[in-house]
Amino acid sequence: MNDGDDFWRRALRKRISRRRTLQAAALGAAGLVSAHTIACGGDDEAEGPPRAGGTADARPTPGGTGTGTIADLYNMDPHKPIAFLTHVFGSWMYNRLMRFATQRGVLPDDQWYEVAPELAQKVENPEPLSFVFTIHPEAKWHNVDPTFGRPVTAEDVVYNYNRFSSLSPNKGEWDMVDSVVASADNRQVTIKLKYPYGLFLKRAASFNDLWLVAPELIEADGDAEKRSVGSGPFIFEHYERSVDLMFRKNPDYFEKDEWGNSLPYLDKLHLYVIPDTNTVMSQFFAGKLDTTYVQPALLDTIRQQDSKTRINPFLRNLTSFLYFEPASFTSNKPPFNDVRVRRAVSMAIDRDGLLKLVSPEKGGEWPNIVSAGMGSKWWVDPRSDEMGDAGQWYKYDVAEAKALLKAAGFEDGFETRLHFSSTIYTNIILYYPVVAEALPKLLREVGIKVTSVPEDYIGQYFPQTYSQGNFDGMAWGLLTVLPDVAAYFEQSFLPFDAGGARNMSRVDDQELISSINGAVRTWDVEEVRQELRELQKYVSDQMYYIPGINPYEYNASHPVGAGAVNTSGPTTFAFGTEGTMWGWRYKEYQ
Amino acid sequence: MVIPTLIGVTILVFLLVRLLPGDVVQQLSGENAQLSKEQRLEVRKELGLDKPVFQQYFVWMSHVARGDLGESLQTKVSVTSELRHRLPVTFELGLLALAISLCVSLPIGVLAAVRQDSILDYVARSGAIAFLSIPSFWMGTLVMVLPNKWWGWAPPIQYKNIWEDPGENLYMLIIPAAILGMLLSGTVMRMTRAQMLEVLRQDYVRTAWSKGLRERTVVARHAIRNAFIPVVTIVGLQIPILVGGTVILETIFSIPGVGRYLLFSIASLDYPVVQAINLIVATVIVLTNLAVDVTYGFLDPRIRFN
Repeated sequence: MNDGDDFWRRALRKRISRRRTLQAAALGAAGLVSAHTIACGGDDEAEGPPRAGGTADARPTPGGTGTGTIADLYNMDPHKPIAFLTHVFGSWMYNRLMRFATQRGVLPDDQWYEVAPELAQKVENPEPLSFVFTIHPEAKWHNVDPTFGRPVTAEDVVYNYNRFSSLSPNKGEWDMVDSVVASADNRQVTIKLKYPYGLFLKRAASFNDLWLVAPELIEADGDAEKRSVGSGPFIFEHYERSVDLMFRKNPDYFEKDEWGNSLPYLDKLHLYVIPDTNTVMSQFFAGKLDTTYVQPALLDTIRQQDSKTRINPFLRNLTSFLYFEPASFTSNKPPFNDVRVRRAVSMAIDRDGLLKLVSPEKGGEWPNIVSAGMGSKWWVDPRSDEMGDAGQWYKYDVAEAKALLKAAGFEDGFETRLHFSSTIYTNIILYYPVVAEALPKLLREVGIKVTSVPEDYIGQYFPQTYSQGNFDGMAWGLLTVLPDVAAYFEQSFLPFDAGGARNMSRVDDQELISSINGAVRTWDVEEVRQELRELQKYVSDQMYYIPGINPYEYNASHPVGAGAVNTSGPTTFAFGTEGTMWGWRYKEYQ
Repeated sequence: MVIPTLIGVTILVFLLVRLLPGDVVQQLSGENAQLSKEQRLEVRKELGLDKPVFQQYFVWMSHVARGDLGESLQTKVSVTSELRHRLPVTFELGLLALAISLCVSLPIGVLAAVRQDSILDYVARSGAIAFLSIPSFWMGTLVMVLPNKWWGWAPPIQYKNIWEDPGENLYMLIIPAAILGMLLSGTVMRMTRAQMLEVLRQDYVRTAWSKGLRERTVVARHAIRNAFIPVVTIVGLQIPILVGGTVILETIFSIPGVGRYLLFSIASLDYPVVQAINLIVATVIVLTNLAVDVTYGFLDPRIRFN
């Protein structure tokens, strides 16, 4: 065994000991939202006792109230949000033209992030530059003031597009759109593109972008901050800041299940604002919450406390990565301007060891520049043969990493700094701080002496390190859930002021930019897919960003219902029609 | 002195809150935003943050003077309307905590003095030290975790207004109030005991004993009132601790009060909210001290006449 094994043994011992010490004080942890398996008791194939009527093909029973948690909302208008939470909130009330496909239970990972119609009954793509969406004839705005259940029209979509494209901070994701026009009968919307964009339908399904809000509401109130009226499966009932958020079923919702039952099944959805993670766990164990997000270290504790709890592992579409100070690329500043050094950094990372540390039960995957949570169709597994030579840079190999450093002129290693957020992320993404703590030790083994620089997320990390690239050395970061694989490339490698919102290192590879533009501006989706798979190999070879890990995370649910969709992934934030709408409760729990 | 003190506090808070690290414009724009320099300036202008700080202060103060505490930068909700909902919650929690604290600490403090060096005294003194030593966040966490582990019990999940459901309201607040009350009671208990011991050794108390008065009369009529003057001062000084305690306990017990709002607002650099809450807290502290001064007169008529 090499030195690394000793390190992991030490690290595991240390963590287990710490875990025991803190168990009482840190029982559980919650994400900002714990609603994606709400009211369904998780997946019937998830770990937990089997029960009659709980199989995936059981007939749903309408009724009951689903419960979960949510964080306080900053704002409610989905066209001008500052936080992903606004989109989560909107997903229960608003529709998009398209959505990502759902299936009861486990969705095979080669089908992740495939689009399906939502408000659009059908979509046609008669020629590369135009998409024609036919609005579902039974789609109606909620039967409340000011829409009173009137049908949704094509003009409504145009109105929303115009508002989105003038207000939204995400409007750049729709930069390929040239015009949006309603048909004369007001049933069809034609979206003309400036250039071919094969993945456009995924943008139409994006959970960050074009949510459809009742125009009368905007005209009456000026925005959608005080009231929320859409055409989605749930009707907004009330939100009391720091207390709770409640929705009721939209009885006129146009979608039906395969048995002809109207969706959604639940009568109500009640989400509580509980900031303290211990409180969330206590309320969960007391049966007041249907579901919660849990940290892997506490899975055994949960099983001991309630053996009926279902544990559902899932792979989140979120990428973790190391990025380098911009001067490495803008001014050719050593040492990270040298590809050999970047490769050495990657080879110093024991990804399997890290996965074992942060998710001991199920481990996880190695991300590429694209998250493994995008599914095998879009993500190229760095361990696969498909990676070719570029795959070698992901292998944990201390000796080879040292050899690379030597070849780059750093035989004795070098000193650098590692910036990371010591707040916010640490509560939401539980593995983030663990990896931030482990990285300096791993890098030291190849001779890179790292000084950790913990930074307050709001005060320093987000405004300076992450957003402005004002840092030296390296930084450890997370890349948010994105709607499609093109977004990973566009945001990470295009110039910062031309769509590269997450080009933190200011990578300036003209050949790559040209390849990305060429790949995404292609009509044929299969061609786009192949091109973007090739590009994953290229950027892996260059190691502009060093992908970290994609561990499985865990959700705990009471066995009070069924109907969970897409368990284990994909995990978009559009919980409304891609999650909660399909969940139902057993009669005895209604 | 009240007005200058409050003005001093507002200036200090106004300046300090702007020294918090971070850029509120970046914070408002979110991770996705790529704002140009011009756009940033535009947002700053929209928020009124482009003006010199002293000018911002005078604009804010002129609004405050008219009863307008401004608008949250993050939620665009009026701070006044938000506080209208939250202040009663925190006041209720604070008053309940204070009541519990006094109900526990005063009788025990008096008894511990009267029965000095007895078992009761030792227990009371140890209890006071323990109450002072155990942080409220730790106690709150234990109360949240252990009863749940042992009996599957958890406090109410949703806050109910006192007018809507008094029983549920009390059920929700009584535990955090008790924890906060215990925290406060340690100091008050020790102070009460020390003052009572001092007063019980005074000549006039000895005279009362020598007149053959009953113990209850000596203690209740002659000793307590004089012993309580410094105790009242201590109670007044504990108001800031009470406010600090509510920030933590409101978060642990999911109580939608001012403390939690303050925490949320500091974390999101929401200047108007932080300023408004600090102004209110400062006002409460100043007024409490005023009330304490007035109380002296009732406890000791000599102060009133002088």
